[in-house]
Amino acid sequence: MKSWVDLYGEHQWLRGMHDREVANELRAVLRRLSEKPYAALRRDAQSRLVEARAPRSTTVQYTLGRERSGEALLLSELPEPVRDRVALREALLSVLLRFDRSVQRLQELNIMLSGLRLDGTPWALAVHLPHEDRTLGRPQGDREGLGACGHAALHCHVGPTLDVKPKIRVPLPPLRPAQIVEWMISQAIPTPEFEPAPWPGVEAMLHPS
Amino acid sequence: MREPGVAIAGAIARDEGGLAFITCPDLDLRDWLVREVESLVPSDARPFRTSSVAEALGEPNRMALIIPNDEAEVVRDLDACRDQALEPPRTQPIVLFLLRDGDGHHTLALEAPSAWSWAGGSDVDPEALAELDMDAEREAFTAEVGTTPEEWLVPWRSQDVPRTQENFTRAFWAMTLE
Repeated sequence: MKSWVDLYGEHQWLRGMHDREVANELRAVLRRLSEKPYAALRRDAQSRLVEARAPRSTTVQYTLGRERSGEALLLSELPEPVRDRVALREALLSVLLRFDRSVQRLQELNIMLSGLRLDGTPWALAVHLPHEDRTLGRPQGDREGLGACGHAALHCHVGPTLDVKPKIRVPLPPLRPAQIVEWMISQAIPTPEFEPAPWPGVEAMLHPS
Repeated sequence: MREPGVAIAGAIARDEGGLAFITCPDLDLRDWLVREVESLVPSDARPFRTSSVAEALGEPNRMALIIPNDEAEVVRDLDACRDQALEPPRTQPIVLFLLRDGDGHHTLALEAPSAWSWAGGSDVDPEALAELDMDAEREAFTAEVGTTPEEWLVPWRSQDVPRTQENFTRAFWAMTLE
C-alpha cells in the first residue's frame, strides 16, 4: 500500500506549479510540434494555447485551439517515412488546465488525444487529474473510485472510447502538462522525430563523459 | 472572445519587420509577458532582449524585444529613427513592452506620431484580453448547447453524458461559467 500512498503524495506535490511557467513550457512543445519539416500540428499552434480567467477570480484556465476545439494532428501531411509508422487516420489533441494562480497550484488537468485508427474504429488516450477541491457536490475531491491504486489521482485512460468497459486507468508518474503532451504524441507518432528522450540522449545524460 | 496568444502572434506577424507594442499591467507581469512572447514566436525569429533602440536596429534579422529602462525615451528614440528600420529592411519585428497607462503610452499618444503610425495598430494588452466577459460567454454557451451551464452539468455529473473529447471540453467550460 505504501507505494500507492507515495504516488498519491507525488501527485499532490506535482500540483504546485505556476500557470505561466506551465503555459510557456507547453508553448515550447507545441511550437516544436508545429514547425517543419516534422509538423504534427498546424503552424503556430503555440499561439492557440488560450488563457482565460473570470473577473475578480484567482482561477485561470488554459485551453488549446480556436474556440477550445483542440488541434488536429496533421498525420496525412507528415513526410513519408514518418507517416508510414502512424497507425491512426486522424487524431485531435485537446488540453484543459485549471489553476489557482494565487497559490500557484494546478487544480485540474485533462489532456486528451482521440481519433480513428486506419480501419476507422475509434481510439482514445486521456490523462486526467481531477479537481482537488472537496465540495458539497464532490466531497471526494481527487480521491475518485475505490483507492489510490485502481484510480490514481493522475491517471490515463486508454481505450477505443472512454465509456467502453473495462475502463482502464493507468497510474502515471508526476509528469507536468508539457511532458504529458510529449508522451501522447510519442504514442501516436512512434518515430525518432517525435521521441523527446531518445536512448542515446538518456545515456549521455546518465553518463556524461 | 479575442484570444491573447493569437492577438500577440497577429500583432507581431502583421508587418514583417514592423513595430508592435505589448502592454503590461505591472513590472512583475512584464517579465512573464516577455517570456510568453519568446515562447510564442517561431524559432527562426531568434528573439533577443534589449533595452536599447540602437541595439534593436542593429539586428534587422532577429526579433528585438525592447524592455525599456526609460519608456518615454525609448518611444522618442523609435519615433525619431523609423527610417533606419527601412534600410536595410528588417525581416523581424521590434516588440516594445510598455506599462499600461505608463510614460511610454503617454509619450506615444502625445509626442510620437511616427512610432504610432509605424506600429499601425499592433498594440496588444494580453492580460486584458484574457479576462472573460462572463455574461457574453454564458449567453454563447446557452445559444450553442440549448441549456445553461448549470443545467448541462447535472447529467454530466451523474455520468449520463458520454465521456467524449467534445463533452469533456464542454464540461470544463460549463464549470468555468457556472
